[in-house]
Amino acid sequence: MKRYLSSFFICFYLGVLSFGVICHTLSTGIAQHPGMYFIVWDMFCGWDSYMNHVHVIGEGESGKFYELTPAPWGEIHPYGSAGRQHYDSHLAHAHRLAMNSLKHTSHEPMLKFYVVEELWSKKFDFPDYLWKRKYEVPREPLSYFNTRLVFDGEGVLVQKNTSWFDNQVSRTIHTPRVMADLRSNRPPIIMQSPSLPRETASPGLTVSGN
Amino acid sequence: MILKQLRVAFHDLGVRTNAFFFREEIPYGMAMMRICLTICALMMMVPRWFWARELYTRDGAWAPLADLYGYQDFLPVLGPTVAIALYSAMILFLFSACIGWQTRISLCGATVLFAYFCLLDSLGTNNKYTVITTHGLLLLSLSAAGSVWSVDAWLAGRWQVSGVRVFPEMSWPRAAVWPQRLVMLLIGIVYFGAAITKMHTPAYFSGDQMIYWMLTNVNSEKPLGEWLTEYPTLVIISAYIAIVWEVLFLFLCWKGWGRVLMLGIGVAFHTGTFLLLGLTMFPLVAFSMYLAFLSEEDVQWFAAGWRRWKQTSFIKSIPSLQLPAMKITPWGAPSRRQVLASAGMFGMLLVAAMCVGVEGERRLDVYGMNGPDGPLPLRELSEEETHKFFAQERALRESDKFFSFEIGKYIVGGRLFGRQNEFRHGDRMQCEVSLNPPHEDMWIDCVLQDDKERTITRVGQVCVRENLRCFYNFVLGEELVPGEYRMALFSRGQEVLHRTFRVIGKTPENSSASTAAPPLAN
Repeated sequence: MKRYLSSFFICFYLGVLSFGVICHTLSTGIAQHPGMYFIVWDMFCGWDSYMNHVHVIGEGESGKFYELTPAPWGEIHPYGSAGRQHYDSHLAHAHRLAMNSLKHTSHEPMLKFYVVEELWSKKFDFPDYLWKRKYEVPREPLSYFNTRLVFDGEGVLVQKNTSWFDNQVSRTIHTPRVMADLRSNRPPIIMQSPSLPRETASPGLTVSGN
Repeated sequence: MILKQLRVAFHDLGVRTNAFFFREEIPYGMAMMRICLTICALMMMVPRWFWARELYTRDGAWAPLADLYGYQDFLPVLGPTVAIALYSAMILFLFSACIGWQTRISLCGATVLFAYFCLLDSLGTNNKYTVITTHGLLLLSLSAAGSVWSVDAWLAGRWQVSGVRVFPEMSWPRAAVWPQRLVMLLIGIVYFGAAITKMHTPAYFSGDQMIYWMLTNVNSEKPLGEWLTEYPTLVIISAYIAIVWEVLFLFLCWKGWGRVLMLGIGVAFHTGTFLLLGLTMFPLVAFSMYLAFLSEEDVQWFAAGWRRWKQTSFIKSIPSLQLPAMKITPWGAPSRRQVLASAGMFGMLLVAAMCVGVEGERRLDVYGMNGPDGPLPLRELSEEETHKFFAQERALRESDKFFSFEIGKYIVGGRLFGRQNEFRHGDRMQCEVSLNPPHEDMWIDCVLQDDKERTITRVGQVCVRENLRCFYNFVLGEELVPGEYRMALFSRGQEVLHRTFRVIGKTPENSSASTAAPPLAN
């Protein structure tokens, strides 16, 4: 009996792993279920040329702005020097980070909070000795900011914008014909990501394209 | 005849498969993996205990992985007391699995709780090495890893610790090797899947993705990462070696020189990921899993070698370093009372760990809610910060579209090989322009200037949006007066980057810098 159970488990386990490899190879079904994360080995699926940080900012009734991440009790650094919120590349959890900060701090009533992304070219992260060797110009880092999400004071999503990176990609489509078609047809509708909690979607959701 | 041959072949395959999975060995490899992998898991989870309330409970900011797949509320998120009690229990399970006490229960509990807590925090806990650790813990819980070098073995009377001896003469219990084989197959399949990922990423083979990863600061410090970006050809070569190794691992890792080679390259590969990419836990998890490749014969070979070395080494002459021989006096099978006492103690310790964990975390007051002034206030942003965050979106700066500009003489693998800033008459200078994606179709001018920034010649070309690199080459003829020159890049009328270089050679007769003829250019 033990032998049969062992054989069954071996076949099952190898079958599941093989299913993961096949799905991954054919790029199909890899996002169909959270269990796929355990059998799809897509480490190193690509890295951008810009470093991306996430900031969550609250706007109080007085018109002042407050930093919601990192929270005042300290920032969690799970891997290196970057705070936990910066690993939220899909911005699926920023609202929860904000609500947690608001719940455990003293503050005036909040009107809105904003999720702002900050990006800069990774070349500015070279150490000084390498920068001097590679570039004969002074280092002048520049960050680009883009408001991605806007929530009301209760944490309900009221606005969602495309990412800065997607905006830059769309700007590469400069051909007059494509731009004319874009203007003459309906503007692109940004579908709400299923990763955002449905209960926070407001009927008054407004989107803005590029 | 053919049918008979097929029948024989299938029978032979069945026998070999049966032997492959169900041969019985002393599970030395799994025992070592048990010790090392649980230490790795403790290194991951113990520091997070201090933030457990924020990471994993309803009183925090949990970030379930399932949300990214569209599954809301896939796992229950528990209140802080229960969650922290379970988290503390998980730490105890990992520790007791490491020392091999109540090993199977500990490993099962650790597997379930480890997977649960990792799935609750996709931002700061869950990643591929925790997934591999989960697989490892699962397979350990199905193995006989706790029967060797463990408290359970000691309590069962198989290992009397009156001295210190790692390899007793009496035989440890044997068990079927199929969990060990599954670990080995898992490692091979993981590498194979990673190779598929790389095949799906064309920029991996040009070195671009690796270079950007080596500049990324999402992992720990990279001792050599940024430095290696100076040698993109080396990056490309190592990229090809890595992918070939990943594909071949599953097929060559089983015996003989193939096993030595594959595991050796694996050790080098994971060491490289630490040095170049700042990965710390991933290499440790990988090395722990590699221990599953140790067979009984390997351990006995090592033990024999160790004994031989002790007899001939300087240790023999140092009495104080002599290890006392262990007396093997089996106690016999433990009594039912002993078994129940051990289990009872474990249960009590588990409850105590949970209570201490909950109380300790409560006193930690991670949110600072119980401070003298009550909850902490939020930090107000300055006007400058507010303006910075909410300024109108600015257009991408022209210089930010360019990653680097290098000059040299040779191109290998589509990248400049060997940068230099001194050239002789007759040299063909290669200029490599690297661009950051995304960029539009661009006209880029490459301008040769003298030391007073006067243009000698200008060459331009279109770099389409799909290209991350374009090249210019100049033949530096004898018309150029030896001295300092400048190669400058212009985009949309503005200079974005430049490189200075020196031309060495004889001064042309009857010429001056201002009358030097322009070099030949492409």
